[in-house]
Amino acid sequence: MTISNAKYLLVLLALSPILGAIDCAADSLSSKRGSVVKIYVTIQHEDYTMPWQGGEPAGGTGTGFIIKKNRILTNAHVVSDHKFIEVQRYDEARRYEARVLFIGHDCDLAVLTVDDPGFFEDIRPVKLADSLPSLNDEVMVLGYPLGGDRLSVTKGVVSRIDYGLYTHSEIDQHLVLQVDAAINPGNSGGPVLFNGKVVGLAFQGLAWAENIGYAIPLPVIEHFLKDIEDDVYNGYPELGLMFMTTRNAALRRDLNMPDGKSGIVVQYVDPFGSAKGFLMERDVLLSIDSHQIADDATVDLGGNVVLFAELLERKQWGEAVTFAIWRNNSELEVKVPLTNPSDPFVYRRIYDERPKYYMAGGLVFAPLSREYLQTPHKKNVGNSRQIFYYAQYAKIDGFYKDRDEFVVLIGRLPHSVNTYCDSFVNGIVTNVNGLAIHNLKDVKTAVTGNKEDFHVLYFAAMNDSLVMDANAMKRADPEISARYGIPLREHLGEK
Amino acid sequence: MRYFLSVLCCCLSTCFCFAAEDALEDNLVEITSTFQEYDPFLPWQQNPPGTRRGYGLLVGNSRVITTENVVRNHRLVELRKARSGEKIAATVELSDCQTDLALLKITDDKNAPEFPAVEIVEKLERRATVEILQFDETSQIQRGKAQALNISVAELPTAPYPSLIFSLLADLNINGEGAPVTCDGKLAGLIVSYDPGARIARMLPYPVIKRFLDGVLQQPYLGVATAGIIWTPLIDPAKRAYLQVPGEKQGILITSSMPNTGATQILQPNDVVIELDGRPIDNMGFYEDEDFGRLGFAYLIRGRRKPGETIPARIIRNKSETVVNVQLYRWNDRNSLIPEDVTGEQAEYLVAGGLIIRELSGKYLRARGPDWQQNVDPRLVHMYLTQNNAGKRDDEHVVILSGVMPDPINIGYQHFQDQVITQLNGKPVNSMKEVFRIVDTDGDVKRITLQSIAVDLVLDRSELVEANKRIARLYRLPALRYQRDQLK
Repeated sequence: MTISNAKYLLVLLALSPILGAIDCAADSLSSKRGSVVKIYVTIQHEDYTMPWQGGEPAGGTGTGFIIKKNRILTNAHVVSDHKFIEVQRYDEARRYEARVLFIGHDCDLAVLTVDDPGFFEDIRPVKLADSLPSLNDEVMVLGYPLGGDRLSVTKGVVSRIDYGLYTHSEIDQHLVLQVDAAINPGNSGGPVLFNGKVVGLAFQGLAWAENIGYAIPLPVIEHFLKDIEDDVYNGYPELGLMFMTTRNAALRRDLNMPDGKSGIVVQYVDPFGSAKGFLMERDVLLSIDSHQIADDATVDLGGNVVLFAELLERKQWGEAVTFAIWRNNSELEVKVPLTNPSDPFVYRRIYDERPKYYMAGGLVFAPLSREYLQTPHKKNVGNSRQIFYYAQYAKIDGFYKDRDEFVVLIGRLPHSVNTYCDSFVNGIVTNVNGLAIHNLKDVKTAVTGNKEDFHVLYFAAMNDSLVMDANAMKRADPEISARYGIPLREHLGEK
Repeated sequence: MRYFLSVLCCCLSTCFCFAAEDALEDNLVEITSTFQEYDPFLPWQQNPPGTRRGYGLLVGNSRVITTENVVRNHRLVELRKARSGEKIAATVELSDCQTDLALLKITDDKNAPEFPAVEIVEKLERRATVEILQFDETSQIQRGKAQALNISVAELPTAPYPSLIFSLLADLNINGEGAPVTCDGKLAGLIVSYDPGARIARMLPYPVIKRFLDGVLQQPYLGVATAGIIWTPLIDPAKRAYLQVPGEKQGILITSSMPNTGATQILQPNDVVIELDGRPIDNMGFYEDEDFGRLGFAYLIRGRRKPGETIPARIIRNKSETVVNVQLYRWNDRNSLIPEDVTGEQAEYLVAGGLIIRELSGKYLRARGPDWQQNVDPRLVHMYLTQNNAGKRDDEHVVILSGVMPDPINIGYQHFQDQVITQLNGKPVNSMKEVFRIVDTDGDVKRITLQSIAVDLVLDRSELVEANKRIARLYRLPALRYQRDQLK
């Protein structure tokens, strides 16, 4: 499940300094400790304003715990964009080089391994619990947070189990376990234990709040571990629906819903979602996998009233979900296979990928991405507000049909050839030299294939066009590369 | 008004030059305007009243000239003379936000104070030394010197319209808008803004005031002329070569035009305007004005022409030179798809089953605070920022569901806010005028279609009348609709 607008003040707990995890159990804390490891990581976020060079490397630490032989579970955000990872047992001085086996950015979980078998010797993996604790159950959080180098143990109770934003991707929502035990930067990846077994993994906090810490709960961890059983991480399937409740009696009558039926009505079907081709707008979803959907979108799971989406959360790729629906005045059953094509118009944070770009005449083009939207100077200037519109309404307003991605003129490296091009920066390129632009590669094709004296570029919602002297641009390219130290004028992401 | 006309003409044509000692002191009045604005989100309600203090100048026949912003949204206007505590009631006879000028009339003109005639300067040089008049804390007249630094065509501080503006470096802290500026005892301008940090004041100069007063005398008031040109400088040599524009320094590029203006039909994107009204226009949009030197070409139209006139434009279109005639109009904000509504008129609205229906305006968007571009739905922001490209019809506007006042009839719809309404009762709507027409024909609102939402908001007709009464009572709505110029 994704949401598009993240306005939470959630903060990840494994930023630059510290994340630590330790293994501890109420019955035998010392025996568990060995399976909790400290992770030392060097990361390098990509530089989306100057994509031809890497960003500034930074060091940090986090926590992980051994869940089975050769496998360490931690947060994805601890090891995202890593260049070098080491792990250290609490009872050993030696650090071992580790590598990432699986990473799930949508659920902020990762599995690491260490190739040196010596690291895992004499370690008893931590056990996962069979079920979630209840509210007010006392839990223990282990980790290496701020304030010291050695293991820290804090205690608290389960305050809330709810859906919440996962700030690592900035758009995904899953179940979240809220505890009042102190969770601080450095705790990320550390286990949350109840009766000696793992019920969660500490991952984020809430700025400006007290005694609120968040953990990834057991069902999300289990979903991740089950997903990687086939050695591939697919991620959560997306149904791709927007719906309205049918709490309004007039609306229910308008949909000709029979008395006694309840459900939610589909107001939008995402062209990239699993439901496309199976469910239609104005369908009323009456039940999901035989659980009746109430008109406020909840289902009753043995006394627990939860959002119907929680049943989808338990599904893996390739599985199916069955809805009873009300369509055209009759009830029918629809089985929706949960497979997800990659959706270029979902703007998650991007990690572990080299940014794509193409440069010509000092003009830098790149696909629209969340990283680009968040570069600080994009907030409120010139054309920049418009790209937020295209990003948010790409599918709803149909822009996806004409393109594979949005190509943005992200900046210019000043040179006399491009002196008068500033007003086009942040514009979405629609056409270059008569060729409609579907993706970044099209820009290169249109520029390199142009035999005319001028390059002419058009931008979305702009009447003015950008004109460049083709010969002057050809001459300028090597000068610009030399002047600004550009090793390569393009990275189109092709293998 | 006719009497007033003659007095003023007399003033303008007489060329006294009195020793500047106490010039215009008896004409100066302090204006206290109590104003109140409508709440854009609850358009039947008004925000708490506030007061604005400024200055005006008695110009003849119980009339006072001041800036429009001083009396914007006024509920009560009172004047006071120097060294006096007595308040003199006044009404606003005419205000024009496109020039930022207003003319007030003293209500009880039997008690109108006596004052000498006002002369307006004929010419003010750049670097000229002028005087600014205002009241001090004890209501005595205070004079300060200022120097004219710069003359330009710039956007008014209180409305998105260009005007001739002088920048002054002042040696006193200016304490009110509308403070008169004099030169040799004659009126040189009115202050429209002041930056106390830089001590820079901006002045609406005498030619603008003269034209306004001349215009007031010719009923009906015609206002300021606009051609409706949307343009960009044409400096880039590559672009000039591509468009085959001869020369290096002349011509601006037309990118679009404001809807329903003279330029709409006549000028096309990619036209290059090299001359306007017989004056060469340079590649940054400047021309050489006989009085003020290098100025933005907007002054050629706004300062030297009137609505209804036609001016020739020499253009290069498809590589060949031609002359077209552009008809000038007074710009009507309502012609925009999304009007600016800078003056904050009461918005037309309809409340049906607790659903608040109104048109989108610039004022409404900006009411979301300084970060409105980030806080408002990006589709609305985009629509507003590119509005001149939209608007297929003269009277087309954007009708929105602004919000919902919770009531049992609108359960399930209460989270909707700032959604564009495309249809009402299954009929397309593009303005509040159409909303009222549909409601008056159909009797009530039973179905609202929102943009990109496949499920209509349906209201229970059998309960609607009762619900409307209940909502009006509960939320204390004086009326469920406000329609401007409603025919009784």
